[in-house]
Order: sequence, then C-alpha cells, then structure tokens
Amino acid sequence: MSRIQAFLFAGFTILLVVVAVWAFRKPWLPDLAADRAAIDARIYLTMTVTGIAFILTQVLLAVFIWRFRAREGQTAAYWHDNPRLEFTWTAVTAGVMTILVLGALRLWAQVYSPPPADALLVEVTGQQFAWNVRYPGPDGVLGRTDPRRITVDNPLGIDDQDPRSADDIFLVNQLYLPVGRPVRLRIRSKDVIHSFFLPNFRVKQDAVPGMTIDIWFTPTQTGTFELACAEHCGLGHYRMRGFVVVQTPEEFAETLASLPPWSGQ
Amino acid sequence: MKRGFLILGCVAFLVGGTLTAYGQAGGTITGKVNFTGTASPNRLIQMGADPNCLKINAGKKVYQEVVVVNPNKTLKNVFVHIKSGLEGKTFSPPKEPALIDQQGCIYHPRVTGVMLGQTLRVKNSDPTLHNVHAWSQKGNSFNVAQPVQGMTNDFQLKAEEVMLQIKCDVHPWMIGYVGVVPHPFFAVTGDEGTFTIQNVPPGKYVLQAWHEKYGALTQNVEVKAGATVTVEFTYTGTEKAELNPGFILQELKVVGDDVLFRPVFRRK
Amino acid sequence: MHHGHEGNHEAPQSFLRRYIFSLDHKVIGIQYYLTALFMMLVAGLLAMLIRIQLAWPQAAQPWLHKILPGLYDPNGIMRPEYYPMLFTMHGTLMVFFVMSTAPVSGFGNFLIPLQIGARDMAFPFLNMMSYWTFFVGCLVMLASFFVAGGAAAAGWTAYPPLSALREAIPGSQWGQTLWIVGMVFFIASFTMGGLNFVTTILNLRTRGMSMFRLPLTIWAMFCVAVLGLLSFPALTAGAIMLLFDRHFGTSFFVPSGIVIADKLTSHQGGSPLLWQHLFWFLGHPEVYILMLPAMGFASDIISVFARKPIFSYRAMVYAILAISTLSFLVWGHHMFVSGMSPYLGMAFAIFTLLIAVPSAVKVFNWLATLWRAKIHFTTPMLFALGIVSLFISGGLSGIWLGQAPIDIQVHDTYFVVAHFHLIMAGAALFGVFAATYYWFPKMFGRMMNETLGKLHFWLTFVTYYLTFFPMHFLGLRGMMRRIYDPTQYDLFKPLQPINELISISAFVLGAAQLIFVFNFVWSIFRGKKADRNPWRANTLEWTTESPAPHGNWRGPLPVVYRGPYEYSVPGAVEDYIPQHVAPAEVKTVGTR
Repeated sequence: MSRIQAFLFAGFTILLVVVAVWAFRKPWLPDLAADRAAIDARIYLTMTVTGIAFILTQVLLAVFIWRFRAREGQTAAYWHDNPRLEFTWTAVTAGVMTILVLGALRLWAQVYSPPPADALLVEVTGQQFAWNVRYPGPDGVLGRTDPRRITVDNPLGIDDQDPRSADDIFLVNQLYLPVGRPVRLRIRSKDVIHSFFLPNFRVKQDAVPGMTIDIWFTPTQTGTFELACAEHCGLGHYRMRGFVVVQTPEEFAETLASLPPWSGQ
Repeated sequence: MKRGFLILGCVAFLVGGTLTAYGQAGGTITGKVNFTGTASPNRLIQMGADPNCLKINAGKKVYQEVVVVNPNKTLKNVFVHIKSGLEGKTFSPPKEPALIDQQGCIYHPRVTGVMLGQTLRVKNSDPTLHNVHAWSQKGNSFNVAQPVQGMTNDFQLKAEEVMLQIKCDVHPWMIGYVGVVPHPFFAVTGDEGTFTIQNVPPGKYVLQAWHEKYGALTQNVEVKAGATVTVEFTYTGTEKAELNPGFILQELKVVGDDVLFRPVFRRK
Repeated sequence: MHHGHEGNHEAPQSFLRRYIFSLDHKVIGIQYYLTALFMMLVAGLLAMLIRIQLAWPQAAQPWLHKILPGLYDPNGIMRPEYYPMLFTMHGTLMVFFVMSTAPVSGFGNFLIPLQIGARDMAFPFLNMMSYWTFFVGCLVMLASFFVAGGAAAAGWTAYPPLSALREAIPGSQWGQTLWIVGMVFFIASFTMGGLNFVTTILNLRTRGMSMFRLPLTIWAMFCVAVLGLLSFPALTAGAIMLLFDRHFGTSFFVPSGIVIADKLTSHQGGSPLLWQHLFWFLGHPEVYILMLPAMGFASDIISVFARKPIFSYRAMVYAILAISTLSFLVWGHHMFVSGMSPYLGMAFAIFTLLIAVPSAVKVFNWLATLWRAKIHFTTPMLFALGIVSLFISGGLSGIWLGQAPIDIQVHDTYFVVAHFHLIMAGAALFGVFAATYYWFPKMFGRMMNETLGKLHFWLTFVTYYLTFFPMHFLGLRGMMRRIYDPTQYDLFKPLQPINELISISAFVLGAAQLIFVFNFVWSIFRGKKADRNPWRANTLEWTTESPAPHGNWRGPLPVVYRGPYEYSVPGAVEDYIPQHVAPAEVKTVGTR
C-alpha cells in the first residue's frame, strides 16, 4: 500500500518537474518591442535560479518519499536538528535573495529614471473603457484641460480658450510612436483606476485619477502592438483595448501631419 | 379575492374605454422647429478607435450629430412633448417597446421618447461589445453590456425624465437621449424638422421642445377636439443646454497646465 | 499560569444550547468549519462559472440561461456586467469566509484547548458571539447576490473609485455596501476569536505545557490571532471610510474631477492609493493568516506519519515568528505599479525577498523531517505532503513577483493568479483537507474512509496542479486577470487551448470535492469507530475519548512532560512518547 502511494507521489513529482521545465523553456513572453530587454534578462535569470531551487527541492521530496516509505522492520531516525546544516541553508538562501534583490533594485532605478530631454511627450488618459491619446502638436505643449468642459465631443475637457490647445492632436485608442526615440507618457485617468499595459514593451503603469504619472521607454521595433488595461475598471475592462503603432521617424512625422489638430477636428 | 379581480377588471375596462374616447375626440399638435443661427461643425468620429467599427462603416466618414440643420433651416433630433397640462390624467402605455438600435457604433435613433410603463429595448446589431450606460438623477440608471451581435436588453424606466442620457463607454462618442414622459404625447423632429402629436385630449398645455445643445424652449398651446393647432419653435443658436443638472460645479484653480480642483466649501 | 480554570460551564442538555448556541469550543469549531464548507461550495461554483466563461467566451450555452436566467441572456451568453461579481465574490468568500475561517476559526477553536490541555477557550461566551457574528456576515454576503445591481463587483480588493462610485459598475450599488457590512461583521468576529486565541494560549496551558512544548499548529494559531488583531483594524477603518464615501458624501478615497459617463462627480480631495495601503496592510498579513495554520498542520501531520521528530522545532517557531513580523512590512509589493513612489517600491522589494528566507527554512525543515523517516501514506499525510509540494511550487514564483521590475510585466496577470492559488489557496485548501482527515476521529468519533480519501487526494492534487500551474504561462504572455473574454486580444488568442485545459481540469477538481462531501457525511454515520489515538500521535487531544466529551477530559487535565514530537526515540518500546506520559512511565527496551 505504502509502496503504491510512494510511487505515485514520487512519480507525479518527477513528472511535474519534467513538464514544468519543458513548459517554462517555451517562449511565452511576447516579442520584445522596446528597450526593456533587461527585464527579460531578469525574468530569465530568476527563472534559472528558482528553477534550480524547484528541481532540487521537488526531486528531494520525491526521492525522500520513495526512499523512506514505511517498510517492515525499518525504524525512523531520531534526529532533532543540525545547527550547521541549518545555518548553511539559511545563509545560502539569504545570499541568493540578496544578490537577486540588488540586481532588481538597480534595474528598477533604471526603469524609473528621469526621461531624456529629447523624449517625445504624449498624454494617455484612461477612461471607462477607452484610452484617450493626446499629442502636444508643433508647439510641444499640451493645452489646459478642465473636467468641467468634458462632453461627449470633448472627452478630455480640452480648454478651447487656451491657445496652446489649438494644435493638440487627439486620438482614441490609437497611439502612434516613432521607432528609436524615447517617449515620455503622461498617464492619467478620468474616472477609476486603469492600468496602461503594453505586453510587448514590458510596460505597465496604473492610471490613477487625481494623479499624473510619467513613464518613459524607447520603442525598438516597428509594427502594430496591442494596448491593454490591466486593472479591473468595470464591466468593459476586458475590451479596453487600444493599439500602439510604431513607425519609422519619417512615417511618424507624416502621420502626425495628416491628423487634424484639435481646433479643426 | 376573485370578486376583487373582477371589479378591478371592470374598472380598468371603463378607464380604458374613457381614454379611448378621449383619444378619438382629441386634437392634433403639429409644427416645426426652425433654426436661424449658424451651428458649429460636428466633429468627425474616430471609428479607428475600434477596428470593428471601422470595418462596419467601411471607410465612410461618420460625424457626430450634435446639431443637424436640415436644408429647410430646421433642426433635426428635437424632442417635443407636452410638459404640463395633463396632470391627473392617466394613459395606458403602448405594448410594443421603444427600440434603440446600436448599428455602426452609433445609436439609432439618437433621440427618442418612451412612455413610463413602456419597455425600452436596446439592441446590439454590431459584432462588437457595446455597453448601455444611463446615468439618471431620478432612478432610471442602468449599465449593461452586450458582447455579441443581436443581444438585447429590456428596461422598465421608473420616473419621468427629460432627458435621460445613454452612453456607450467602450465607444465614448456614442450618445443617445431618451425622453421619459408619463403620457404618449411626444415626437422627435426628423429630416423636415417637423413634428406631429395626435389624439391629444382637448385642453391648455405647455409644449416643450428640447435640443441636446440648445436646451429647452416652451410654448403654450390650446388643443380643441378634432382640430389641429400649429406651433413653431425657433432656435437662434445662442441658447445653451443646462449641462448635468443636479451636479454642483466646484470652485476651480488653475495650476500649471491643468485645471485642478482645490478643495473648497461649495457655494450654491 | 492559571490552572484553576476547570469546568467553567456545565454540559448543556437542550438541543438548542448543545448544538446551536453552544459555548463548547468543539461545537463552535465544527459550526465554523461546516459554515465555511458551505461557503466553499458557493465560492467554488462561482469559480466554475468563471472557468466556463474563460474557456468558451463567445459560445452560446442556452442550458445556462435555463439555470441562471439573470446571469445569461436567452442565447446563453454571459452578461458581462455579472462577470466581475463572480470573481469578486469568489475571491472575497474564499479568502475570508472559507480559507480564513475553516483552518483558523474552525480548527483553531477545536484544537487549541485540546492541544494545550484546557477545558475550553478562555471566553466561551465571546466565542459563541464570534461565531454568530460571522454567521450574520455570511448571510449579508449571500444576500448581496439578490439586491439591485447584484453583488459587489470591484474585485475582492475593492479598489475605489470603482467601489466608491455607484455609477461606476452595477455591483457598486447596494452590493458593495453589503460587502462592506459583511466584511465588518467578519472582522468583528475574527477579532473576538483572536482575543480568545491569544488569551487562551497564553493563560490556559496545562501544567508543564511551556510555550516551547506547544505543537506548531498552536504556534501558528497564536501568530495568526496576533496578525489578525493587528492588521484587520486597518481594513475596518478603510471599509468604514469607504462606506462614508459611498453614502455620506465624504471623499477619503475619491479625488476631485472624476468624470463618469461624461458627468462630473462632486467628490474632492481623496486619494485612491490610501485605500490600497489600508487594504494591503491587512491584505498581506491576511495571506499568512491563511497559510500559517496550514504550515502548522503540515508540520504536525508530517511528524506523526514520518514517525520522526519535526526537524528543528525551534527554527520552525522562529520562522513562523519571522514570517509573521515581516508580513507587516511587505504589503507594498502589491502596489509596485500603482503610482506609489519608486523609492517605496525598493523598500518593499527588499522585505519581500527577505520573507523568502524563513519560508525556505520551513521547506528545508520539512524535507529534513522526511529524511530517514518511516513514512505512512495515510490520507492526511498525503495532503500534508501536498502542502509541501504546493508551497514549493507557489512560493518560488513569489521570488519573481517580489522583484519590482519583473512585476511590471506580470502584475495583474494570470501569473499572479497562478502564484497565489498554488501557494496561498493551495496550502490553505490542502491544509483544511489534511486537518479534516486527521482530526475527524476526534471530531466525530469515527474514521473517514481511506480509499475514498486517497481517491479524493489524487484527483485534487493532480487537477490542482493542472488547473493552476499553466496559468503561469498565460501570465507571462500578458493575459490579464479579471477579464471576461481573453480572445478579444490577438496576443492571447493562441492561449485558448490552455484556457480550455485549465477549465476542464477545474471542473474535475470541483467534481472531486463531491467525493469528499460524500465521505465526510457517510463517515459521520457509518465510519469505522475510532479509539482515542488512532494515529499513535503524541499531542494531548489524543489522550481523551473520541469524540472528546464536554470539558475535554473526564478526569483531571493531563500534565505535560515533553515536547510534542518525540517519535522513534531510541530505547523506547513504542515509536512515540505522548506528551503526558511521565518519564518514569515510559517503557524502554531495558525495563521490559
């Protein structure tokens, strides 16, 4: 009886390890399209470290369960502790964690570093259930917004009286970006909390009402990518979907020129 | 118990009969809504926000229909109804529901009326998600989603409201207005800018026209049995709709690029 | 210590006082346990509906309309406004009303006096009050499904403004209010229970039962009670503030200038992040409230069936204490991308990886306990080993999530769902099952059926992995949590076979629990009669009759001479030496 159970448990555990290792090695991450390869590298490093720990502990579990199943005439060892062994595994774990966290903090500081001066400024405002995109236009300055002015025709409440808003370009769910140039996104929300998520870019930032949060990155691949909302924001959360179109600088300039400014929209 | 129902039935029959009699002996209000000003142009809708909408409209340019001035200088999408004068009278609601169709990522019709007790039916004819979100100050709120083509929802509205605004949050440009009134005497102007309200019981009324941008105008009318009374409303284009009634706007302060709110005590 | 606290209330005679409004900790524990099992059934069914939807999001299933006409349109398409209610209530019920209740309030109440050698809890009346407060909380939560707008739908985390503004989602009408009220009842109940736990463990231990002779289950219960007492007040405060924001026009969590459906709201000056801090200040310790009892059960059960002392008892205690302390310092790892200062993110990343150390120590100690053991594969042992397995598998992904930059990609995706279902829900669920099979004889005087138990274990164990392990891959791909239809995104369309696999596995997992329910009910009436100590275990509960009588021991309370893990002591005749056997009475080989 104990033989069957031990075999099943050990066998299942080994199978789990094999399948897990096989499955984790598949390319699950979406194709990278921004300068955040360091995040991928960190994911793979952590995958390796935790993978080794996973294989080690699960295999030990399987081996012990098989090897030390109850048998006739066998007695268990009377063994309370082993300070040296315990100190070793505590120290090793702590050491690995320290190394991992130091690297993570370095990368974290890099991701949240101030944007370069030449970054392209774009404002992205979440609302139930769409992303409002606004470019500052040729003057490089976003016009004033005012929630009192929000109507169905003016989802951001752009102040028409502000001369700076005349050349702003307003789009819904469509974010055009030039390849190779840093972009600085101002993430905002009109109503509830959303989360601006670009799976291909390794970019995620909550859009919080009452806050304006700047993030920056550099697109490295041209193409069309999906923009998702990652924070539950209501009954249409699953369809709060937009698109990021990364173009060559020339195409991007053309696109911007072809879009009507706010005053003429 | 059974006898109670019987009596109730008789009463209902009698009331119904009287009402029908009213209807037959009623007069007609007809007229049109003129527009003398110049309207600011309607904005182009960015159907590209949802590829499904773009596909349905197949390259067609669709404009937001905030102000539609007909060639004959009249206004389309004006909701005309009897605002007062019918107090104390009751009318049985139509059996068939008032229908709003979502087609091409636009509400059809944009402005409509429904009688209290009548069903408001909203249908999704698009192969994309629409949600139907009404935010009412009077208890008529609802918020439902229709993820697949052909889905419908029925609503029973609870209170008189001119106008109940409905929106699709997935397609922020989609907006519609529903006049919820306790009687069947309402109409919406069309391509000719005209309206006709029939079978109105004789009496003196206040007739109201409502437009989403230019707000409400009222006129007094007297309806005589069997006669037709003609009414003309004229918008000059300078009127303003009362936005978001019931919400008290707050004191504002300009900080840098944006108007931010400074917490203040509210002033009425 | 207070030893004169014996037989503080008489055995009641009437049915009402004996089984309904009982003051007996064992009855109260079983009441909690059974109520939690019922809530698990409800919450589990909600999960089944979620899985039907995620596997076949656009498929018309008219039979569902026949069963749940409100939830599905006549063609059998789920109405999206109800989907958020499913995951909100699944999470809320499972986390608080099932996984906090069954192990802590259920087994905690049942076991604490029995394992420390007391007649009852310190405050029996408070204990009864605690259960009935919890019961009202359950009723309020269940009632919320039937109010206008339906149950709460802002997620179990109830982030405002979604949860604060009635117009934001239908569930934020009366459903959210009832959610808050239900939670306040729950917290009140848990606080009463916590006070009782701490007082009882500190003051009512029998003679000889020093703190370092307590079974690890009791250590876990002690820490859980302290965690609850210290962390739940933050949520209470938050919940009441949220209630005020919703009904009395305050603005604690709702900032100015919020516009919903083109209408400007009149709130001003609140902060959505304040709620997140308050919520997670509870929310993270809460995770350990679920897990620590399971770790305690696992330690006790593994030691019994390995016939071996738990490896490094003191390290186990210190690990529990370290985890409990650190659990108050890691809440911000739920908020790395929330807009919180990146500096704070750094601090929380450090503490999060630090908490991995005591967690790893526990795993190593369990493994070391199995080394050179004599393992008997009873159903409780299988479930206890399942806890170890799941704790490893789910714990390691915590090292990913704790690293803030990785969290950018996987935050709010199915990777997180995989992580917490494996480690937190898995440990708690397997803990409940292990404890049930193990202590059932003491609860009902009969054994549960082993064959059915093993079948239940294997079906549960395999499908649990099959259900939750593949979610890692969905998450790495980017598939977000709480979405009604993943196929809306081109990126996630290729994942649909995995979603179907997960769903089918989840249905088997759900169905397998029926075996447990059957075994449970059947064994109460037909199970093999149990003697006092069917597992040949050391702890005090096995020194009294099965089931234990009112007052727990008919004679005087047992006196404790040693720790609870003296198995396979060299020289002893039996391979276990119970805590209450005086050293002179231990039969050794020499004195035979």
